[in-house]
Amino acid sequence: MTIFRFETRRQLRNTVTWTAVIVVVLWLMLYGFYPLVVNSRTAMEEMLASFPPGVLAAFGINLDDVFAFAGFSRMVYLYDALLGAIMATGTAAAIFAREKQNKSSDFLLTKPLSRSEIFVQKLAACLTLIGVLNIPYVAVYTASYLHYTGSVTRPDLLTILCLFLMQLVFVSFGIAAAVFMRRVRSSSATGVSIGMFAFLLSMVYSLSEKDVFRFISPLSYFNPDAVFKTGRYDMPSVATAIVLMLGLTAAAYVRFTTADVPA
Amino acid sequence: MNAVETANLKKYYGKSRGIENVTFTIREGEIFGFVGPNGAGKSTTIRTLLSLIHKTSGEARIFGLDCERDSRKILRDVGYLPSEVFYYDNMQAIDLLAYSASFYGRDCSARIRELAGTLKLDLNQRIEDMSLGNKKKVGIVQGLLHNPRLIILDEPTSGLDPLMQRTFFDLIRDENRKGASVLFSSHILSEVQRLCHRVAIIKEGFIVTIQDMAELRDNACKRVTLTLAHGIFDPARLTGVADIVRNGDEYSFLYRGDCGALLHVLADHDVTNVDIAEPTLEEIFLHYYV
Repeated sequence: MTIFRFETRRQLRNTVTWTAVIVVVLWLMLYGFYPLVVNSRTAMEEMLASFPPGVLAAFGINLDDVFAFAGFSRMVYLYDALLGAIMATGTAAAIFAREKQNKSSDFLLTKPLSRSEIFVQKLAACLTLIGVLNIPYVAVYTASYLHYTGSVTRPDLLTILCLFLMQLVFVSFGIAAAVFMRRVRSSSATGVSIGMFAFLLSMVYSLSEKDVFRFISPLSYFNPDAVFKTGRYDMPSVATAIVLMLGLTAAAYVRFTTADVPA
Repeated sequence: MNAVETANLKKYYGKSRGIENVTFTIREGEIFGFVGPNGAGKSTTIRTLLSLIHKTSGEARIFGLDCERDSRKILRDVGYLPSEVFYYDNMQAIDLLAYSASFYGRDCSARIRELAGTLKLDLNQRIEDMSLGNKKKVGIVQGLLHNPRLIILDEPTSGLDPLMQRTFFDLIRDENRKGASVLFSSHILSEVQRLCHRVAIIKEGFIVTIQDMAELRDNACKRVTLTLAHGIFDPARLTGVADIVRNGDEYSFLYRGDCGALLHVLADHDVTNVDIAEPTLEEIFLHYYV
């Protein structure tokens, strides 16, 4: 577990920072902003009604349910999902591209470990760090449900877990980027680029109102809207997520374990 | 058992030649030199042995184990120092070395301190703040800290000053006396002559010869450059002369043979200047193999 310990230690500060940002955003929105929205409902409705419907849709605002806690939290999710996607991609890229960035592949690959073991330990470090972020996230989210609705139902739980599941997909994006790109100048930039691109795709999906577009929007694979409407995740989207996640991780594994390492 | 054995080892990068039918053995306890100009295939051979790159065909074994299939086992007993050393950012030397040691599942701290003392390396300095030479020292310590049975050195002296090179060679000789086998790759013939028992010369992917060091020394040629005050020098009077170039009163040629015979012939001429130097590798190749 040498590499696992090394990688989690190296990434821990970054993960703690991201956790703080994401949890604080969630906390501020649910405990600070949501009561204000509810208390000024009439003025808010008038203001939001003046915006074109497309703009509201693009930013995840639905006038029908934005004042209900579940509806408001779904809107908040879009922004936490963007941050979570950037964090997950950046973390995976940092861990899997570390040797490429530092040109230290010779150092690591001449140690008595198979490349498979190295890959698995790095993957375990990614998943652990995502887990570290999600513990306080789930705690704050669950507490807010209890605070506003008095209970946490199964659909609420599925909503709360959307971030974690969506981040697993973005971990596979980060791994694939790190392994397949010839050079990775900055893992943060990789995370931001992929996260923002996914955010744009989610806007395209929201604006287009074409259901098929949900398949090109990774931020929407585990979508609280679907849980709200049907009580469960949209299964075709989940299947797409699983295929992408496993496919990209498997392809990266094959490449990582078999590629020549140039001098 | 041989420390290293290769048979018809071949590596192509797409259509580009890396190495071609490389066959050699390194006996246990031997210091084996691997000499050739840049691009000859030294690093390709080494990287194939270390399973950093995958062979196209042929066989490569270390301590009787297949280099690709058994790389995990092999690497427990191998220490590697590449020509250029790169490590992780924001790490002190001691942290990097502790990380390196952790892969071997044994306490290497005393050995790290001993090697650092020998090389005068400050273990508390951050690696990115170090000079090229000090980074190389970190590389030497991380290559030797687990007392490897086979030490693979790929042009290891670049960046080390002459005094530190001598310390480094002493260190390698000590490891060899303790039983370690060494594969020492270099494009500097004199380095190899100082250290090795046998040497393979590689050119354009092919091994052109493998010789005992004593044999190589006996066959060693010199680049002779001389200037005459007057008269004509006829190098053909000597046997073992090649690559003769005349420029006015200045003559230059490669000479392989008894230096006494050379001086005896030179004494018959009015020589104003003479320079007898080690030839470049390319000149050796020209002398022996063209």
